[in-house]
Amino acid sequence: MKIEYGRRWQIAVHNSSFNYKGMLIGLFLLLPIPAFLISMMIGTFPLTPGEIVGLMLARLGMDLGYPSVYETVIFQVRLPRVLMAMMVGSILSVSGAAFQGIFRNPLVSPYILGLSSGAAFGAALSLGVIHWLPVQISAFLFSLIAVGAAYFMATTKGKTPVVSLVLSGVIISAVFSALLAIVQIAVDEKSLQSIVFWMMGSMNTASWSKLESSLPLALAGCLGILILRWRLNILALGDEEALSVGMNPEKYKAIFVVAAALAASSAVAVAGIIGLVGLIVPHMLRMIFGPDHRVLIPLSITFGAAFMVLVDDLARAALGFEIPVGIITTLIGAPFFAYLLRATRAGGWE
Amino acid sequence: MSRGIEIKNLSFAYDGQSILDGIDLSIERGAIVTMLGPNGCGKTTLLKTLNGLLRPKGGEVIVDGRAIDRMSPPEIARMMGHVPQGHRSSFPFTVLDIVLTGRLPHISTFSAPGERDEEVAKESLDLVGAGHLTQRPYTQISGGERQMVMIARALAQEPQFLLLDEPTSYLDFKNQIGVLKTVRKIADREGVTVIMTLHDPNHALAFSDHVVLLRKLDGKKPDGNGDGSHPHRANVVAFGPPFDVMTPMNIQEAYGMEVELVEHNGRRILLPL
Repeated sequence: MKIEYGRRWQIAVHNSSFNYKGMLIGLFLLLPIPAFLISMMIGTFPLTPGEIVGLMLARLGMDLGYPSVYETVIFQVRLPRVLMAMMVGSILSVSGAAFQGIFRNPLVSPYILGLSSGAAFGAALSLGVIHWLPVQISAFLFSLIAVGAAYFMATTKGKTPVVSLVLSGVIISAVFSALLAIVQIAVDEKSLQSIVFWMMGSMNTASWSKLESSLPLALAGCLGILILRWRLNILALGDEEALSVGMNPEKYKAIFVVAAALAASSAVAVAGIIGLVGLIVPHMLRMIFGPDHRVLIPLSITFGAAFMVLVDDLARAALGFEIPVGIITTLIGAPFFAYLLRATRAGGWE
Repeated sequence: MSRGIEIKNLSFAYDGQSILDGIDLSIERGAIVTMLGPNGCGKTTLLKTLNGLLRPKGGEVIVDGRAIDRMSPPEIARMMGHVPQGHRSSFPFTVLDIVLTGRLPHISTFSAPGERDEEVAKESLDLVGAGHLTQRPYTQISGGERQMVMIARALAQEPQFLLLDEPTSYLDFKNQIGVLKTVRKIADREGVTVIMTLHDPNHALAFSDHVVLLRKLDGKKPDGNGDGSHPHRANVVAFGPPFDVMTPMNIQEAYGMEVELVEHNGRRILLPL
């Protein structure tokens, strides 16, 4: 009886929910717009929606008599920060969703192949030792080196089994953590402080130049995943099942790892290590819309942007001082992760 | 041009260990061919060389007059559907989403499935009697239903050949028969040639047009120690209609165990002694 009831309920939801689901998808696709406007208003220097529109017009050449401090706050500080938070949120969510598809497990993060450890070491190297090397570039390069090394280590005879990838990711992370520790021991206190702060992840160093330099590769990675997203459905079924319909799973694993790593490295390089966003956002979306990557990937882009920028609002405006946003996402994310772990029994890992 | 699958002097080895040797088979279109034999005899390996997933050490596979190793994976996938052994998914994809992935060989690199693909997927589900499952999460249906869904996925490839690797394993008695009856129906109605591996000799007897009975290679050089009865130790014990192949003598040869054959109302059953 109970089962029968459950079935009927499901069928009823399906029949009545077709348009409803479409509407909800539309709503989630538009979320970044209100999130953007709200975030532009919030801050130590609050603005009304009218003022935001007015300032935008002023920027376009209309003199509406706003004091120039407004312009500095909004265009040099708040706007780049809001845009960067949105970009980073999108990237972490999309690459998280892609990695989860590749690994056939809803609980992996974009950092699973040692990306964050590599980035942290790269950043530390630049902040503490090789000062002429820009942090962003160093973090970006070393995060890619880490992912590349993990992928290479896991590949034998042209095949890259998922379990080998997980293990090589663990090893590479450990290696870079050890290297990071060496740097941390060697440098002076001031450098150490900036290394620790970098690792917590924050948007407060946002600038137009950071945005401009990270956008091209981030965009390329995200677009690649977006275009090929249906193929993640096939990859997520397993290598055998991909082969049986004529797909080369190794080729697509490599394509998706490269795209996701390029994007995630660009994000980590400008914002530091922001934990668990790449896990929470795709998972919330899966709970509402199901696991189909044709829907999941575009929604990860928009919902990831909205989520991240709102959490960053919290980070900069909730208290009198700035809290690194990585701390907030981790503190929100950890209980959520624990809940998922128990609810899905380790994500149904074989 | 011959229609069907020609296997010529095929051999295969894993890490130097010979698994398949001297296999010559000719499979005609429009039949159900069952491969049967003890664990480790190379049934699955043989099945995977047919659609090019494994590359043989020697010999060749020719499908409808074309060598399989000269065809691209999507080309092969349009011709041959394949259901690998026991599949499970971590993600609760809907049944329709799973079956849609079978459309891959018909979809170009940068596109996703369209309306026609969805139609084909739904037709395939109807064909295996799983049309009512379309929107159900794959993780919540029964093992028997899952097997039907995976067969529907292979049918969505619109193949001429269907390769099934142990389609009845992990299923209960009723579901085993259900799957085999569906396979029979697909072969008869759609004219799809089915090549499958099975574990139960009685299923092979009841549901196939031809049986390939295989034995395990003993891995040693074929001179033997006094046992002169196998001049060359190839895998195939017998190949032909089930009644001819499934004799107690052949079963003894393949499995090394004694069985008796019981006839009842024109049906044959093999019973272990």
